[in-house]
Amino acid sequence: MAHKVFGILNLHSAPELGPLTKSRSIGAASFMGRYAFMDFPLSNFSNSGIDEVGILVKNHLRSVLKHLGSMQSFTLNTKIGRHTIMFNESAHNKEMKNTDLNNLLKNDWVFFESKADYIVIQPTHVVCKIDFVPLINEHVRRGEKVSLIYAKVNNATKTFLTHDLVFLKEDYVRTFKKNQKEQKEAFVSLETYIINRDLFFEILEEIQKVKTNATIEDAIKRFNGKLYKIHAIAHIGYVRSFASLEDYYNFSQEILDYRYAHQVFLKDWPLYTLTRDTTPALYSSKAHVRNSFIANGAYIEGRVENSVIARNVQVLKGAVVKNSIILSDTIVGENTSINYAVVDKYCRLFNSVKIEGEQKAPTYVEQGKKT
Amino acid sequence: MNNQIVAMILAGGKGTRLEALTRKIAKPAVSYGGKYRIIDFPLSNCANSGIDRVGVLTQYESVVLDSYIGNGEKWGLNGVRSLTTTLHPRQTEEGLSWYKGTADAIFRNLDFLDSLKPKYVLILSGDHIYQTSYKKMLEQHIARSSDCTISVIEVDPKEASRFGILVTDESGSIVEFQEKPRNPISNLASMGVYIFTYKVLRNALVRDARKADSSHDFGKDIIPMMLKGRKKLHAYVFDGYWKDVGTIASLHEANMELLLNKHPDTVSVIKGKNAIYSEDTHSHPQYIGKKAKVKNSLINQGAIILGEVERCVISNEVVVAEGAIVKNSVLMPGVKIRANAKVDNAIVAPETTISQGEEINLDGEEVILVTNRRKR
Repeated sequence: MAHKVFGILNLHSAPELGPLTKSRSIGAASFMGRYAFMDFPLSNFSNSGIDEVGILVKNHLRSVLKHLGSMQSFTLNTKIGRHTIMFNESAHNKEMKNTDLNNLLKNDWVFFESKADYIVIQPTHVVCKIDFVPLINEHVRRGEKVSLIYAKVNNATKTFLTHDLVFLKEDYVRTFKKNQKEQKEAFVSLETYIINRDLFFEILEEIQKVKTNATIEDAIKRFNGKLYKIHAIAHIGYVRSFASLEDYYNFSQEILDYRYAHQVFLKDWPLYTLTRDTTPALYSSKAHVRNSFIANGAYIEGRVENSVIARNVQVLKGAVVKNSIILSDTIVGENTSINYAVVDKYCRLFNSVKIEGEQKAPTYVEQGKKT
Repeated sequence: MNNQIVAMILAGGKGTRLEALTRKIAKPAVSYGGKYRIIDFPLSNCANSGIDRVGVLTQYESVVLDSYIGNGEKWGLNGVRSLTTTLHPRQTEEGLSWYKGTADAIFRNLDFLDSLKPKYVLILSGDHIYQTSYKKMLEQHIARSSDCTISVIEVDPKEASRFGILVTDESGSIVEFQEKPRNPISNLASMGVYIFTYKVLRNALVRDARKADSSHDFGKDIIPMMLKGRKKLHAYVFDGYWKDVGTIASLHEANMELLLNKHPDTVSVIKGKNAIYSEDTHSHPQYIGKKAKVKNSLINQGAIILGEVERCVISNEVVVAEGAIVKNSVLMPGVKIRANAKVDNAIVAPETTISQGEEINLDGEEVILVTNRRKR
């Protein structure tokens, strides 16, 4: 990367995934058996050569720290690179005050140590590949002050409901509008920005004069057309926004189809994550597995179809897991059957229990459940 | 314990009997168990024993092995008190020379050992598969004030002539050592795992280096010399799974033993309380396809299985295409089995492609090694 860039991963702006995020940040929630959601934006930073990163954490700090560990999983150069957790202690139980902007200002020392000229902001609930290198080069070449990454979608009445729709005039954002589910085809904001550093801090100052407890996005949108014009950059390719347990279930199931899987797992775009020295997955001679993702450490003796099996999960003799997502360290005991369900971590499902959800409303089994 | 002992791992061998598998990499770097390399075993054993100063002696085709070992991070051997380093033959004032034998390799690194001031030195082989902690062996060495403790395993008396055989008295003192004897009088085989009191080892190595007729080998020269010199040598009996994977057939067998119902210790070897650590590749989770059949197999992350596999050990980034049938085989990293190909009883070397419809070793009783250089 020719330019000095500071990456911000913003965990404040993420919606909840129902019970799955009751006691953990969506950034740390398990995805596809091996990843956490924040692995995707953090890998975008790493693969784009952005080695100075701040992670704005709103709540459930413990789950974020557990996944990030020493953060060397994502750092390109362990001396030069720096991943900093930014957390607003004084506002952690004051919902109104606990904004990304207040968090960032409380932790402004992080920027005193940085020589970056440009800031890149990504949310954690949007899964897509973004190579920032050409985008930042274009931003600089054109002399832009703020750029927004958006995507053209044809199902905006069903997804991206928490996102803004953007309306363009030539290459610039004319206005932002809340998604009112009125149009299927739309340009949606991916809440991903490239912004010049000095301007960024200037507008963070300005917004506080006119609005209390504003967010970073409030500031960026507020001064559009006044101090700058937001340059719009289209994202081409796979992109999904996760805003509910149903989204989580449906988009996981979708990736079982190889046409989608190969857009998520790209050869030239490694996804970095916390690794755990688990053994390869072991299948018994009775195992029957079809159309599923299986993580390392799994032990499969029973039947698994159309499912995602995370690390260290055991599916014992006579057990059947169909159309489900099983999170790590859960044991599906003998003759237990699970269909259309999301089963959280550390469950012990014995005594031939039957867990049956519906395709449109998968059943959720809470962490540590014993039967 | 940390500041008393240093481990030296002998990892310079070519492993000629592994054929093309070791054409470009040293034997300790050969893949095993879908995810591991053989050297993960002694290095993890050191980590689990609290030994965090480790020298790895490399020589033959050492580039892959050296970069794999790095600073020992993969085994946690990069802590604040740790030191992990590879030790190659080097140019000195006397000139340049290769390691001439196992003892010579250690002799040429006495300066390294001197600088660490160890009381004991643990000598290990980089190409054996077993899981242990060396703590008890060291405790025995200290308790018996031994000069040298040799780890032994009981082998089938019929097989004994393949090994270095130790004869002990009832107290466990070693009275005789026979290197691959024609008529073995004991079934205690040396595992090539030695703990020496450093002072004694240092003297022995210096003496041996002066002998023009010595082959500078621990088994052939150092141990017999110490026995002759009435040093205190004791056997430490190891009880567990231990495998010297010297040939294609034994490497295949060791892989198959990881599968269920093959060997009582199976995966507990790599999963148990002394876990084996290794490299975690940045692979996606493995995918098992709509028409796939997977039975009795061990499969690493990054693999894509669309065909049929049975009794297989499969590494990362392997693809088994639709209609392909693979049985009793070991597929090393990056192997591609194209549609409708059939493979039986084989080790398929890393990055090998089996063409569409190709048939490999279908009626073969012997295990074969398959590489891209095969005749088609």
